[in-house]
Amino acid sequence: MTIRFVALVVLMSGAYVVCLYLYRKSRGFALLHPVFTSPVLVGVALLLLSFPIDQFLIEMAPFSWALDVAIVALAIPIYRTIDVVKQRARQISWMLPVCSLVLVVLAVGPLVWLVDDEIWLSFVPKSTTTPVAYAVSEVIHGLPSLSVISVAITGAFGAFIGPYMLDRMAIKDRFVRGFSLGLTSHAFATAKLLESDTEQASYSALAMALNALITAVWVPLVFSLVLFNTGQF
Amino acid sequence: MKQFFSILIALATLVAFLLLGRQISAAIGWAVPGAVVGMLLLVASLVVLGHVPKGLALVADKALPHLALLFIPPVLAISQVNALTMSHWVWVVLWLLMSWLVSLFVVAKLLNRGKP
Repeated sequence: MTIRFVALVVLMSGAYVVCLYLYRKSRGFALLHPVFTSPVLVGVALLLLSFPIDQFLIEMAPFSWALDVAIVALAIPIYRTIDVVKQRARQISWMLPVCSLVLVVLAVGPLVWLVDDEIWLSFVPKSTTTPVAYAVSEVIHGLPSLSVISVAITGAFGAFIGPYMLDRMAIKDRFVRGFSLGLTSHAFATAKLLESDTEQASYSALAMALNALITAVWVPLVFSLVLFNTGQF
Repeated sequence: MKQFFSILIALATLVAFLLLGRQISAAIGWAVPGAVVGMLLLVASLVVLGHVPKGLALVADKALPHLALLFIPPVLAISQVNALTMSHWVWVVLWLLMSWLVSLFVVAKLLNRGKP
């Protein structure tokens, strides 16, 4: 561990704390979420210090370890949903695989034929929670950084207009509301729902956890079987 | 002090599950990321155990909300992708909005039909 590494970690943490403070001051305004603001702040700081970004990325490579540990730690919130899973086992057992498939198909749609492979592959895991999207994107040869950004933007839509859209669609069932927002907008939607209705938020957390779990398993398997064998890679 | 040790043990547990997951993933030659295999194993272990040990609960509750910190390098890495210019970004955001709207509509209608 060099002094430079420590200095960069301190810089990153400092930027994060500032951004988190601003986000909390704004009472959870989704666009001010640290996932958007802190990379910008760090980027500006690096520019001012005339420290090259590619060098920064090389120095920070060990951080991907922490991300992997975080993915394993997701097991804890997933396990906590077990009671609701037991109660609604029949519903969930068919809804979840169908929705996971629908979400992946709608994430790319016609882009398969329109844009470069690595771009549309980056959108494939966009409805899962960020660390899982990062890992999945890596194995299916997308651009993990584009995946992370698309996950965050998708989540912000859910936090901003998710509940409003569900009102417009006249969906009143709290399970349906929470579950569909959790599927489409993961942690951002869950955080938003926590402000108003903890029951909906718990369904949202459940959907987010289970969707991440199932998508992280079937997407790499299917993509490696289908795409890699057709010689697309 | 006791809390410190339970946090250390929890972190060691997470790393152990990660390494185990990576080993299994590599051994089978599966495309599923090692970390995801580790997560599945930990979920299974917790189901067998029947509860979440204190240290693990503490680590998950304190650390997981701050995941955005870990994403600073990956998000900054996008600046190294020359293929995406400013006008591309407009399309990216428009596509994400459209895709999100359609997804929410389809998923909510599907779930609404299937409710008991």
